[in-house]
Amino acid sequence: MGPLSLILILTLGTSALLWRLPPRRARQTALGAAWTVLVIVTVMVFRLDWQSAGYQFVEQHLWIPSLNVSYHLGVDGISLPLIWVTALLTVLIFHYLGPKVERRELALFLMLEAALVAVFSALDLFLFYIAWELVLIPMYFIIRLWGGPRRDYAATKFFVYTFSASVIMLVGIMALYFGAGSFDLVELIRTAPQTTRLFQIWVFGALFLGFVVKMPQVPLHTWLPDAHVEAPTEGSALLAGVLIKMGAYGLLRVALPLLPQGAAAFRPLMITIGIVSILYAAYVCLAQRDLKRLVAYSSISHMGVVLLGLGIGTQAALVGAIFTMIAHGLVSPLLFMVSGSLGHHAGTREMDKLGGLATVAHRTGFVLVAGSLASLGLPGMVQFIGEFLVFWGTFQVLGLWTLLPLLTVVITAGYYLWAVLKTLFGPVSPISGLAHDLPDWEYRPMLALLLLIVLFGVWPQLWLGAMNASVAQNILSPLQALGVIP
Amino acid sequence: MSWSNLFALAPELILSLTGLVVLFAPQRAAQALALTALIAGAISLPFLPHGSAFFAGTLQINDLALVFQGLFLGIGLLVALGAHAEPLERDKEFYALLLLATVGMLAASAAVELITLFVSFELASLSTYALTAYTRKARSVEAATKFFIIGALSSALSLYGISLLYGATGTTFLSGLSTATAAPGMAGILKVGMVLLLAGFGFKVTAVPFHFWAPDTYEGAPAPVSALLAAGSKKMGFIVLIKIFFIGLLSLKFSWVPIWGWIALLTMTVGNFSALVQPSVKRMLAYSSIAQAGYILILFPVATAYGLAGGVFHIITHAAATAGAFLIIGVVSRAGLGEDYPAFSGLGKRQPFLAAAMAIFMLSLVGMPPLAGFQSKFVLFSSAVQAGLSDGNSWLIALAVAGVVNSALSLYYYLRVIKVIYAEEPRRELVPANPGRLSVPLGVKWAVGLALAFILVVGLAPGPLLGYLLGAAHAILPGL
Repeated sequence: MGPLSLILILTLGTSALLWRLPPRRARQTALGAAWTVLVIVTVMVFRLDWQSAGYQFVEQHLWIPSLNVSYHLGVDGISLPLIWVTALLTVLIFHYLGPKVERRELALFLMLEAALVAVFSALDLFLFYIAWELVLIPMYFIIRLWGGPRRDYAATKFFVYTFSASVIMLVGIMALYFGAGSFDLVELIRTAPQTTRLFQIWVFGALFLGFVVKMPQVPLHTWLPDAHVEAPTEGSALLAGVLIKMGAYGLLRVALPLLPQGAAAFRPLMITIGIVSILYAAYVCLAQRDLKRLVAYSSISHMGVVLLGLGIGTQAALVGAIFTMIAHGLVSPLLFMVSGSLGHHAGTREMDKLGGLATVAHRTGFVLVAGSLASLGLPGMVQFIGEFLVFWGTFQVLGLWTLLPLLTVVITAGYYLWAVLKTLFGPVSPISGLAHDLPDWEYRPMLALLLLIVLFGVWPQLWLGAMNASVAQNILSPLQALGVIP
Repeated sequence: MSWSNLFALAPELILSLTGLVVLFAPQRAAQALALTALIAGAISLPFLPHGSAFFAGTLQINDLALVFQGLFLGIGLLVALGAHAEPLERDKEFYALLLLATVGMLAASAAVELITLFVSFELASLSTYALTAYTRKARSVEAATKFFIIGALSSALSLYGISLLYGATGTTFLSGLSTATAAPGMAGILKVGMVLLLAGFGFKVTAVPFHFWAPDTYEGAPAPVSALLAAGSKKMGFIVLIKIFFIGLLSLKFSWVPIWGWIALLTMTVGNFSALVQPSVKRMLAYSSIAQAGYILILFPVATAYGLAGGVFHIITHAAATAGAFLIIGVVSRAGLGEDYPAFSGLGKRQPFLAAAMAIFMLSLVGMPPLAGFQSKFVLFSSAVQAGLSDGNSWLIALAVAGVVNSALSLYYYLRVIKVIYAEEPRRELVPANPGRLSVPLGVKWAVGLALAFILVVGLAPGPLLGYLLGAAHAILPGL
């Protein structure tokens, strides 16, 4: 049994066990399991061989013989960083939840972790789809049970919206199975690119719909602000940190390498949607009063950068897109945590009602300022690296048109600085005056995230090497070998 | 007539004899007797003489027949176990009728001749009319009356269809029909006969526009009987249609494929949209089973062995989930909570086991992986994609898309049940004497547990069942 199966068994097993443990033991057990997974994944990161092509830590067992479906797991430099972020966030969220957490919430988070790890490591599309849908159930319950006042609406919208899109994706997967003869990614990468152009365009369209709703991008993004505003802080953190990366990962792992001609046809649309999402979501951010809603829209904007990178499709842009996913996976949970805590300790997240909070709550002020700077792409912090690579790749392809998406840098700086100004500085408002600061168990996970944001900002090579090698070997070179791209 | 003929009827004989004995047995022993007979019947299945025809060629045991016989015995077992989901006064007749209905379904699975098929079908139908009314509540009697009138009409239609086919071809054997219809000529009468059969048996499978009786009947019938109707007698309609169209009338394929395509599309869509607005969970489940029948009907326009296997697979997984769900509704309604959505509020706290089972049944009906409902929907819908890709019949892909979009839509009402169960506090008070947990008869727990185990096991390991179904389907449709 390989480390990936071990992680799945550990998380699912602990999740089932938690329902039967007394509350205090439950928290310790859940923390133990989450830390163990993080340690396993960290060891895997260091043992990953950058230079060898293909997938590593591979496990394969035949599961449904009549459909030729196998339990096939494996990772490379694209998926392992995402798994690492998943494991990290689960640990930090468990600490953030503090001592009073309900055990069933911990169980749901472990279930979610298992499903996410399976999404990022599945090498069989049937398995991939199963994991993809399994993510919905724990997330639905996390929003529905611990969410805000409109949680019922938001949770149902989240579930129905993304499920509808992914069943269309399922039809695409079925077509791939019959058109290219397999569910297995390793086989498909040889057979699928050789199907007809028309077939590729249709299948790419079906897959794209499923992926783009998950990302989510304009105009299919409307579930996300609702889900984020109503979700509990810890749910938002994982939703923004990892769940919305599933769409981008799916495009990168399935749609782009398997269907190059479809991708070529959709490239203008992907770039357009990316740029529109970047600018529109940033523009909408300017009008937000609720801090958490602002962070939600800014996520759409940042995922627009990822889609732009995927649409451009050069080595630099693809690596930039993946690095942006990791960066955003660290920055957005930080911002969701601090805005959620702030809302809890001050009683409101309305920026107009707050003001002068920094003089009352020093920790909150520090984290919010640092998080905002990270999110607006300050050099030396992690987000800068990814966005720089994407825009650089865009410049190589689109030339001066890159100025258009680059406008977002100005808008983003504008809305974050404005938000910080309204919330933290100026005269102390009556509401801010009564606010509490962050307790230790909430502050420490945020500090850990900040530390990593700076670490990877100044030392991006830690990830970039592996990403570069995997993009070249597992995405681009199979296509070059078939002669479908230069 | 030799003894081996009778041996081929072993399960039918066991059940009918027990059905008669039950009527004279002491009240207490009735359920045990019925259960024993059903289990004995199931045990006898693997030993039945396989492949050859009996009783002058009217009955034949093949893989497909065995699958359906197994299904009907299983559903009979669930209903007999869960009979007390609704309070029973005189339950001897209940078990006797249940056993006779099962006999009808078993014989219909094995019959390969139209008159035998019709008689078996009627045996099952007549028993279910009586079962629907057996509590003698006004609502049940109304449901049964409606069911009976529509049932009589549909029987007349089918019988007329059979007579036309006989007139045109001179045979009532399916194999004879198959060769006779392949010859040119008589197409007009054959097509009229075909449409009459389609309509007559279409009532049973609640195909739109022949579905109007179903919601009222399912809602008015006692919950275990609703389970039998949705999971048993409706599925009997499918095996009859499969045999008539895939064996007897296969050469008319080009005329029935588009008709079935439209009916499948209409059935799933109408069922879903109606289910969306129902205030009662039981009625919602009735409409949902119409929608699910629409998915299953895809197997006709697809008309490949893979599609047939997918359809039968979905018949089985839907039967297990819907039977379990109806029994749980019965338990809730038995406690005086009613059958509307609020009745289920807080079930997660009152009855954690039933609540989890209900949630899993709902998710399986949606087609959420990795439950059995997902596996069967996957095979079914992907068969439409496959047929659409290989034949250039791209409209079949549209049918698959319609299926998945309808599934996504159906999530809304299935999810509503789960939400009420887990996310809402109990709103309606139980009877004051017993304010906490619901009382659940032991048999119902067992029945729900069996259905649940089936859904989970087939979801995680669909290989063996799917492999068997593919073999059975290839035997019916060789080369397709």
